[in-house]
Amino acid sequence: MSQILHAYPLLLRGAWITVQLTLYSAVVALVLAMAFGVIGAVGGRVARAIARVYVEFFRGSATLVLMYWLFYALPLVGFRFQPMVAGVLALSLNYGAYGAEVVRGAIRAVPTAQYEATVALNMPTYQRVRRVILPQAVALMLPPFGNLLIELLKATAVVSLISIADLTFRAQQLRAATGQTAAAFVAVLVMYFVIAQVLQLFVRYLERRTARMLGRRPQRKAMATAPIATGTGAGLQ
Amino acid sequence: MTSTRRDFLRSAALLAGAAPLAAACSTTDPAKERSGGGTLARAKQQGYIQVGFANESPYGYTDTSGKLTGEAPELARVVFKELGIPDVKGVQLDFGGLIGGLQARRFDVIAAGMFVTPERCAQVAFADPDYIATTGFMVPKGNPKGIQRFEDAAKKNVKLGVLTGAVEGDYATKLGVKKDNIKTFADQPSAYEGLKAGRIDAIALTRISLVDTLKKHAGAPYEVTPSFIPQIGGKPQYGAGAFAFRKADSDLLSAFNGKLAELKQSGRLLGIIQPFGFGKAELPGAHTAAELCKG
Repeated sequence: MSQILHAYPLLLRGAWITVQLTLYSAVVALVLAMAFGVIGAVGGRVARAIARVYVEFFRGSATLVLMYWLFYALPLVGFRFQPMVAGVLALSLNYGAYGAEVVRGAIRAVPTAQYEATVALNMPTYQRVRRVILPQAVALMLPPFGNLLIELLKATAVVSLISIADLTFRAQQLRAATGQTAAAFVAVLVMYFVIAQVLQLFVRYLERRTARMLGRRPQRKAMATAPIATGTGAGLQ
Repeated sequence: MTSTRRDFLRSAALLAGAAPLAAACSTTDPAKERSGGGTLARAKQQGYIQVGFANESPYGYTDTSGKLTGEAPELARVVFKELGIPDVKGVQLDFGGLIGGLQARRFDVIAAGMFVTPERCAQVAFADPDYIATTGFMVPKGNPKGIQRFEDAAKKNVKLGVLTGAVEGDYATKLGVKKDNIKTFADQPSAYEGLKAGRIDAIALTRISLVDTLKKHAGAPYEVTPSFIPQIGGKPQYGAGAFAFRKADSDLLSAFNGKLAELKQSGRLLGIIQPFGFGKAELPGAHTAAELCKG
């Protein structure tokens, strides 16, 4: 164990790469999820079909295989992505597809009365979605998005197979250099857990913020236990 | 009001994320990609060459400070420096992914102590060998199952651990070990853990790797059997490790071979690879890649 602890700079560098990968992939995946999710829910027939194809194709293809494609096969037909880009692309295409289903489901779950009201008010489609449907749908999306974000973090471990020096990659290197399998894996297990907790705190914060935005702030509990939250809320406005 | 600010923040975050990604993409010319070549000139000009390694101690691995080292990378440093390329950078892949990575130009040389085999010769251009390895088995102390050769393993229905893409799996199959009894592991530590957990009865690998693994687990109840050279159809299978290049990089290959021959003649080779457990018995002698490619 001491040998592994001694090599902490290596592990920290790996953790930083893992965090970067997670954030980049999450941003790209979010854009994809929003785009394909929204057109999948409210688009015309052709748009819906395109969204369907994207979701089914990338939801059904293995991240690792996708990554191998981008890393080994594409250079032979004309594109070379840097390993990091290949990793981010493979992960975000995959998780964007999962996310698109979450977005679609959330939009469908907004009460129909809300939609009917926008029609009654003669709002154009863009305004309906942007002003009424999406703000309510976002609140429904956040918990499953939190799940996906943590899954994405853990899925980044496969990039160690395409020469990106992430946390898992560093753990493998330490294993080979020291032979201490158990210690190396315990160390990275803890580090993944810590990163996941930070991500989940972030999602929780977003959930609270969205609820407040919609005037759905949990009443009694929030009032009783978190006067600080009220304070911050006031400060932000 | 709030939504405008949110819009702004959201698009700013997206742009910030997208910018580095866009900057990191590159396209290649497919024709040039397939023909390859020009690596020597490019490496000299940019001042470094990228080598692929499999994180297999002691052939090519990263030490606990993150520095690339091992028999092949250290030898690469000496040879390339004398060829006018001052720096060697490592790209780590699974052993089984090295040839694919070389062909996809993820790096320019395989520096992993890869054995020269006829199958691999069809895909890459090997330099002359820089060491000869003999095979051994890691078994529980006292070798209760009496495994000395692959034939013993076949007869006694022993479960053998081998590494992905490594030659031992091939030897084992050809010498009669049943496919079900060959377990493939991604790397040495995994194979070692497999042995410890009782998933396999023995690891088949080069003596050098096994001794190296055992060294890291002082006092472990295992031993390495006396090394041998497997014979297939009466032909000895020399496990000769060499650097591998893309076929198109013939200038780089011949420059490398020239320097390597110098190191062999002057006796400097031994000094470079000795720290990694290689001895006089592992020196390659006069074996050439051409000879080994014939099988």
